[in-house]
Amino acid sequence: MPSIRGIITGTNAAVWRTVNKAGVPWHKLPGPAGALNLAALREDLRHDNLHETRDDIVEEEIADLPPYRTYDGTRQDPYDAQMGSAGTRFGRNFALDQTKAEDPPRLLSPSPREVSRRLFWRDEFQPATGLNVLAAAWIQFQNHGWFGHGTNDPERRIDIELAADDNWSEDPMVVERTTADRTQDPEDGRPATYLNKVTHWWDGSSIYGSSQDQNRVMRAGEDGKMLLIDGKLPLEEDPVLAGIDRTGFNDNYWVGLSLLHTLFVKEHNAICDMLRKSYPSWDDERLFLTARLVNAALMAKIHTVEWTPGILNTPVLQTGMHANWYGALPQWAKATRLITKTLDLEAGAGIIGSELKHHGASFAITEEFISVYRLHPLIPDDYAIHDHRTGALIEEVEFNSLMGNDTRAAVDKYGWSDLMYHFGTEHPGKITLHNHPRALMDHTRVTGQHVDLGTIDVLRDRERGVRRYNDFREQLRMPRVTSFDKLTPDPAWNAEIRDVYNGQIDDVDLQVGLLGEKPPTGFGFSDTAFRIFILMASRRLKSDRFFTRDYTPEIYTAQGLDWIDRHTMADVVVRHFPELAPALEGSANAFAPWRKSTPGGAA
Amino acid sequence: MVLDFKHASIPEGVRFTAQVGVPNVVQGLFRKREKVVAVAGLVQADQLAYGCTASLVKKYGPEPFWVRLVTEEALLVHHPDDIRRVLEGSPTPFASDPDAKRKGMSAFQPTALTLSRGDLWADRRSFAEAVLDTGRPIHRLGQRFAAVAVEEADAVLGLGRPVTWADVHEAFQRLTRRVVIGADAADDTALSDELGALMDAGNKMPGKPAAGYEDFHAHLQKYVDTPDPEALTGLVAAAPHTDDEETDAAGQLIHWLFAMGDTLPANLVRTLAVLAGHPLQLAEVRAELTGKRLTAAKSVAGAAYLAGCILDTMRLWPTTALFGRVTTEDVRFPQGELVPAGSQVLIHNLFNHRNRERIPYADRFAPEEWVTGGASDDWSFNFFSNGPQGCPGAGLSVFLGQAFLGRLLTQADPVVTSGPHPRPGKPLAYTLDLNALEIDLQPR
Repeated sequence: MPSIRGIITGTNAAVWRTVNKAGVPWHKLPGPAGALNLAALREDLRHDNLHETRDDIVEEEIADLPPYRTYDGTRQDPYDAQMGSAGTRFGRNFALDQTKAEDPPRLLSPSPREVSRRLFWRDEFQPATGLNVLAAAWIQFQNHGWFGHGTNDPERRIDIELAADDNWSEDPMVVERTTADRTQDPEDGRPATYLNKVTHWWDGSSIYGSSQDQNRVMRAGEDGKMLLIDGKLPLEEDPVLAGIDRTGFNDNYWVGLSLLHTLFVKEHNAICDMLRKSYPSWDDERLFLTARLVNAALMAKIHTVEWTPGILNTPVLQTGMHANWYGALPQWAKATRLITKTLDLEAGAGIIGSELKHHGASFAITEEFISVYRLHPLIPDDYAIHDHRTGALIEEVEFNSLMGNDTRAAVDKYGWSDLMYHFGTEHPGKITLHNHPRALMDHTRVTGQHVDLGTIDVLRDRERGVRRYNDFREQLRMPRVTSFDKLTPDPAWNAEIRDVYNGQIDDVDLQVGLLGEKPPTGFGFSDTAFRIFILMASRRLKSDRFFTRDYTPEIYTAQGLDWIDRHTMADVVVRHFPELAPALEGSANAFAPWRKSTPGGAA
Repeated sequence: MVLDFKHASIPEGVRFTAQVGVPNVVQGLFRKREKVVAVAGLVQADQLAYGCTASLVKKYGPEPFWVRLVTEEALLVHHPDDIRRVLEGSPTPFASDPDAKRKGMSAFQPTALTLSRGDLWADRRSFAEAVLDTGRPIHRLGQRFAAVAVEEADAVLGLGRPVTWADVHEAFQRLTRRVVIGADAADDTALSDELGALMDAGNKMPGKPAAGYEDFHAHLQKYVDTPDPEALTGLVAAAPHTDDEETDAAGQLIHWLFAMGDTLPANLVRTLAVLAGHPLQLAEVRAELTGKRLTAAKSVAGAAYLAGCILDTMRLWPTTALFGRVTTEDVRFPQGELVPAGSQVLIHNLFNHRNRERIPYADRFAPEEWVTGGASDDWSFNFFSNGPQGCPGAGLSVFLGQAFLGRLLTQADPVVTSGPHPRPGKPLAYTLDLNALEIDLQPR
């Protein structure tokens, strides 16, 4: 017997499937209809695009469910202690038979290096004018809390032959393979799986770490606070990581991450101060654990109702993401909100505080999700640092001077305020072809490895069995692109792609398709990527008991819930960098460009 | 971009104005109006005021929040950490001369230290500290002052009938004139009457010196010009002051006259009434005083438990229920909230001193908390204000209170014969009306 919810959502999905099949996409529909269409798409995605990879599931009700986020992400789910914890497998959005890794020669065909050189190389910086660079750093900051494949395997290398005119530092170019999942039985015949080295949960592990040992060395040891030395994070002691903050996740570190990691550690400490005011008898551990809950939820809220509508700037998404968190119904419509909550109709009262659900597969970040979040074009190459008070130019620097071992020196040289001002006022790159940061296409890691991130973006999808563009779309019930002419709005690019792929449209890599595709109006990225996004953005909330059944004053404290509810990204910035308040004056979204100071005048 | 504290609603502001602001003003900001105070007691105004602030703090705390007081929003600061921030930040950026206080005090003390800012404040403060021996364990004239207090206490004991607030007030005004001005002023009741009239005028907040101020100041100045070496006037000449017109030594004496002559005895009468109903604490006081000579300054100052009795009475029934500061510039609180320049910041002693959510002994008489507990370090308690603008005469006031009460309690058993009987066992009432009290001091 179908539930009332099932009848409502099923009918909605059926209606919109018909409309979409008739060639009318969701983003061409007027606001409310578009929102209903998106709800329908999410229902279908939940039904068809969540696939289990784990074989270690033990379902047993956990007796002493901790009222806080554990360090390693265990015991977060009420019935599956390991779900979402550090060291468990990434999930998949496609059926496992659609996730087989590509083997040579297809793995290297066409050469991922050539795809990168010919389609990703930034001839000229293309800005995303609706956003600021903070938005670019933010998504990397969040990604680092959701997933990390860990150190690659130096014993298993992929050699990429270079073209004759390629003057890369070594021939062949060497890319280390992703470290294999040692928990997988090599004889089971299933596609390769990989392990997440961080917790899958939206728990702020990028600043808190993914184990207790890692966390303890970052703690101040009193009042629940994280360690800051003269307002900065402590530095790593390993000489290889010199100049890099000691924080929960510091791979691929640069000034953009240092700003945000420090900012949210400061926010954590401010939350501790707030909690200590109300609960003076709490010890260090309780203050820390509660502040972490609040801080992680604040980050999740900022991502949901500020960053996302910033990068997907359409009225439907503004409404939709607001509804994901708060619900579409106003707070005063208590009775109706209650009904929609009871029926688990998330649009009414929001996902926050709703029923915990996994939709058929244990919660895990998926490989496909990781692929659609390869948003490297966001990173600019050039950084003109200005005085936040006067707007006067201080220095023009390149990305390489702001990253890796140079991170702390740059922070010390320019100071938080001017750096943050730069990130707030300047544009990131547009997520499109021919806009990969040059610095990252010719990048030397702190380990000394020389890498082209464009090559890696393509190769990782093939290596990890993420389908190429047309197959990927088909798995999402989107039409295949049948002609190169329809890949991008730019005929010259289409010709380049045809050439690189030797006329084989189905060989076009996912990254090329995603970057070439014309996004819906107001969107910062493609509709194809967006399908994974609407599924997973909701799932990160819906599968997490701390955003659903345990989003309560008993767990968070009333003051904690109030803190999350009241504060925005702009508040967080101004709280810790009050001198930037004039730049944020009148800002509706802290991820949109802030007001610039002009030399000789105020902001 | 403004990161702001929460705002109480307009109806809540109306309630706050009616239950906290108005009673504070109509009972007399500077001199209590006897009849109004009696009515306020009948309608349990202090309890309503506590309840009003408590409900707002529960809703909008633990951070400070804005609440409307009449037409203007003021920032109510109630957590000890925030109170500390404000009081440690006085006089800049939190000046102690909000509009109502300036307008009122201008009537009788236009050159008051507490109304001063910047260099002028520093000048007057150093003068006050030098004369009052702020921070010293015992004032250099302590021995003499203890003897004066004992003499005045003996005069009260000699009345031979139950004493009233008026009796103690009169005795203390005499004591104050002797201590502040000197022996020549002992019987100059006209001086106290003149000050009383000016303070009555101050209650109406005229914003300028009231009629008679010039004469009153001249009256005082004469004493300053003929100092008594055994009184505070005798220390004026040696105290630092940059320019007499700026420092206005005579003008500074006014504050000491009313704080010592009016506020302190009010607290002492209440302490007496509380001890009359708290035999265990009274026994503790007596045990502490056994064998001590109360004309010896060291013995007086060493009576720590007795001091605790006086201080805890001040906590329970603060004579200044609500006081304020005003921001001299934009101020950002630690969480980034911006308080614009010119904002009024309120500290509700009546609530803070009894905040049941924070203070385990909120509604009981707890002198021990001032001796062995943490009360002295708790920024919730601000009957002497606190920080750089804390009362420079606090030490001397308590000392005089110890000597006076010590003498009464070693000589007599206090019995409340009329008025409220504060007793242990149930929460102490928020109001303890002085005018209704009659205490029989039965010889021991």
